[in-house]
Amino acid sequence: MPYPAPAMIELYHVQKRYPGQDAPALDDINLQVDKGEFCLLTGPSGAGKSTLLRLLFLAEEATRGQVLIGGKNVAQVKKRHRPMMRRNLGVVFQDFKLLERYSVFDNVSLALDVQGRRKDDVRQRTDKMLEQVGLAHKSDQKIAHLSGGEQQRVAIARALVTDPAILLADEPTGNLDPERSNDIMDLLLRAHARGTTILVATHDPALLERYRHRVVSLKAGRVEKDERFR
Amino acid sequence: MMRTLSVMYRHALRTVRAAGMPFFVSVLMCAMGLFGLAVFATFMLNVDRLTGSVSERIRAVCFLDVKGLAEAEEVEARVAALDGVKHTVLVTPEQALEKVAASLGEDGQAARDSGIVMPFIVEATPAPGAVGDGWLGRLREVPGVDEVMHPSADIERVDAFLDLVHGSGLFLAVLMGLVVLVVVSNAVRLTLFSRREEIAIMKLVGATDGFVRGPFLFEGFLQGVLGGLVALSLLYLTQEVWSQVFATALAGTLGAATFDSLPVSSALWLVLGGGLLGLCGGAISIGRFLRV
Repeated sequence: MPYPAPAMIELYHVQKRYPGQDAPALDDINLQVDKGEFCLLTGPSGAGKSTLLRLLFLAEEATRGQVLIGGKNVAQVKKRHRPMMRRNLGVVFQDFKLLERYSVFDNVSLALDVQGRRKDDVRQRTDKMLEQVGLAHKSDQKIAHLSGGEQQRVAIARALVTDPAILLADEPTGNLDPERSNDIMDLLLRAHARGTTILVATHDPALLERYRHRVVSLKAGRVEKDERFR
Repeated sequence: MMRTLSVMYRHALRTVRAAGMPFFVSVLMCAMGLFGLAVFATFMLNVDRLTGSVSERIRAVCFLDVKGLAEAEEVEARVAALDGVKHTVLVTPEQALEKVAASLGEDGQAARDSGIVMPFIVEATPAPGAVGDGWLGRLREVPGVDEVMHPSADIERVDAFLDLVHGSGLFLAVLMGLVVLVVVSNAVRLTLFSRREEIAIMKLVGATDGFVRGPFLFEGFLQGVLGGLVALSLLYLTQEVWSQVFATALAGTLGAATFDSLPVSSALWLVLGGGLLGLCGGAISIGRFLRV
């Protein structure tokens, strides 16, 4: 009997409650995402998708329950070790979170710079990643001069350039036309094919229909459905 | 390690460029603070030199109780052999009377005609730092010396005043240091506020606290160093104006009004001190407001 794939993301009875709010943003969430899995997280606005992602990229702490990333309980990771943990996570934010004063190249290479990688390695990886997302020709341009779709691709390039074990994406195709959305999703699928565990928060029905591997539906902070299609 | 430092340096330069006007305002404020400090240090340096040279120039006048020139020369030799005596001059009664007459100006002739008999005098010039160390007492104990005149009480009063000025200078130095600290700290805080989103992004992609802090510490250090350099430039400019305009005008009052510049070592300390204060200002700001 084969060994089960180790879980990359594990949540046990996780609750997240914000001060001053009656209902918790997340309540009794139990979820395991295996290594190399492609998982879509869906649900209406306010269902808790973004909150769940924020817990995973260590922007917030759970009020109750356990969150494990790569087998490590994040509550027990010391503050000074968190940057090392984040380096294994690629995150694509809904609002991109790009540095407007930096060039495309500098935005993408930042993720490698903070790791203290060698200059030629940084140059090589960044150039390669920009080529993959089709922005090699705009390497020196400032972010402010790019379209929304191009900025989204820069955000994805930054998230993937370090070859992270896990990629978290919050509405990566939000406000993009269907063609651009498919381009973005293709980039994520390519990363998935290389073995990256992918968790994408979306409420785009077209994406859910087309890229259904595993779909976890949240409603009012709880897991409503967890369906595996492949 | 070197790679990380090089990347931090690059980000620091970017930080400085992004800081824009607040950075340069803060450099100017630092410069003003350090300039005040440098002016005061230069002033004290020159006051010390001036008072030191005055106290060294003031000779002790030893009135001798001797019968003739040969005996006076023996006493002079004994005075010259004392510790703390740099130089002696024997003044005969005739020369002494002539000096008195000369000092009286037009009334001097009356002194010449009065028939006053002056004693032999030995003028003893103190070696640097010798006055006040029982020096006058030793002069008085020399056989043949009847009385010694020296304005030591006045010199002590000047010394006491200088001690007070030195104390004030220390207080001023601490005050200026605090000013630089607050200015740099606030300038870095402004930069931090304007770049808090950028810092958050750097943290989210895995930057360590050190990586984020480094550029801001560098910015603080750079502000302090540049402030120090501007302060030094202003100081030397002021000295030039002083030596060309005021020193000439005051030369008649103060004698040869030469002016000593701040020594190179002190100038280096000023720049380095500015840098260190800037570094501390940056560290305080990050510690209090970044909370990374």
